[in-house]
Amino acid sequence: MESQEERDTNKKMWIVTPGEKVPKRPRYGEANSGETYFVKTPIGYVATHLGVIKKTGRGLDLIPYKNVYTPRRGDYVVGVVTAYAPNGWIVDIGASTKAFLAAQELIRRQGGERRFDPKTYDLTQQFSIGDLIGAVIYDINAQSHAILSLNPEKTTVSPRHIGKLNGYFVIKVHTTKIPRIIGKKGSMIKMIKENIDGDIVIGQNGVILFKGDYEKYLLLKKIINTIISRTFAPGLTGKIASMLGTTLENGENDTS
Amino acid sequence: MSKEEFIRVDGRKPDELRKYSINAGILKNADGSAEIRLGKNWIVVGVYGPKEHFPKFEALQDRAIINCRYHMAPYSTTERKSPKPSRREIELSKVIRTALEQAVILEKFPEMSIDIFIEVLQAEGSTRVASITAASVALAEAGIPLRDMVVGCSAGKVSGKIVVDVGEEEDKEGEADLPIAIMPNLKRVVLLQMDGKLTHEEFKEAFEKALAGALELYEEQKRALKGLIEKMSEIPSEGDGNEQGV
Repeated sequence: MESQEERDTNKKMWIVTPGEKVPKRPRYGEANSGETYFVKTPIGYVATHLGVIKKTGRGLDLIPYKNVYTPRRGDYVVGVVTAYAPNGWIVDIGASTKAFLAAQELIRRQGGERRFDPKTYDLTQQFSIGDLIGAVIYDINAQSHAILSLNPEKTTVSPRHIGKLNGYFVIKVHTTKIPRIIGKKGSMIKMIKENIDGDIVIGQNGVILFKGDYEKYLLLKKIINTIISRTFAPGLTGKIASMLGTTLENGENDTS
Repeated sequence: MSKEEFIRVDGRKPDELRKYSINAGILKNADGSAEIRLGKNWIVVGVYGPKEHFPKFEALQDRAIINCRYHMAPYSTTERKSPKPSRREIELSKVIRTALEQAVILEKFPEMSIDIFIEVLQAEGSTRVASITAASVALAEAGIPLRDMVVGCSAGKVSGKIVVDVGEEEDKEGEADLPIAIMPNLKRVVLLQMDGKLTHEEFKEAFEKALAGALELYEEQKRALKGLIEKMSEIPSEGDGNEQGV
């Protein structure tokens, strides 16, 4: 056991399964925007997920193989309306907890001044069950429910991606793959957007939306599948770049 | 084979496990899945969740609920088994659930539930421990946080000898049967049942043999899970420290 630990301490990255002890480092669980993949047990810190541990200057980061999406304040998410509440809608964002969108949010977005009145306001007129909506997580309440907002104050999301979303192709991926699809400082997604014409929306909860030609959608899907299948492989951006280049060239040749 | 050595009905030595293999991620539609083959046992496990619990009044405010269904297929036994959940299946579902509850970090998912569906496609004794072993791999594959893996193995007394990994005939004809499930790293026992009679010394011997068997299966669990990541990368699980950074 100790020899394994010693071996691990000398490595830059290695694979762990749940329950495997990891050598102690400062700033545990600081990786992945506060999401923690370690738990303290009587034998020390152990990994809770299957994944790859990466040694960084800050300590240990665990890149999980799969993870259940935990809503975080400020995340842009895409969800499906699943039920009506007395004063809003229940939205399924594929997370560990349910999400709620208050009707007052929609009134504010539509520029209304009045307060929500359940007697006169018809919730079914605005969103139906099964509607796709984009929203930003405004708060996590005491019951750990995500409270959604349609009027985010500080966000980089385009206003047209907030509210009801129509006419998009939907690609669902695991939330752990989203950082890889976005890339370091957005390098990967920037490259994809530059090479594929269309509207690409990425929800932090693992929903990718695309509006554009069907052929471009298929290309995007192929690229995303490549990223997913090679999540832990080094030099992925280069591979995708060459793939985008060659595929686009082929496509141009076909059309010409 | 010398005549002095105790050879079991299927030709195994007393402390020899049946042939085993575990595969993770075999089902496309489930959130997590695994398959175990232990001798002629063939068990498939699918995991869904965490998802909102229904009915809502049953949901717990501080943690998630595990729903576990252990089911034997009608063709899993030599005589057709009624697909209706039997008394034994309901009991085993409960026993497996309580064993896995120890390992899953349920507090992370209040008001949610996690579904575990265990299908025994072919049964040949010790299916409860094999189910636990496979269910634990399926949970890890689903990305559900675990304190430790859970792995099970059985031991028993056959013709006065203590043997590990009891098969179907040995289970029926043997004097005692001791299935256990453990969390190997935390060194905790999460399941311990006994059918039949064992002396104090025999119990100790049986427990130790089951423990050794469980630890052997734990290595196979790790191999199955690590194989998933190795498939999508060039990172060796036992590296020499010269790996490239992502």
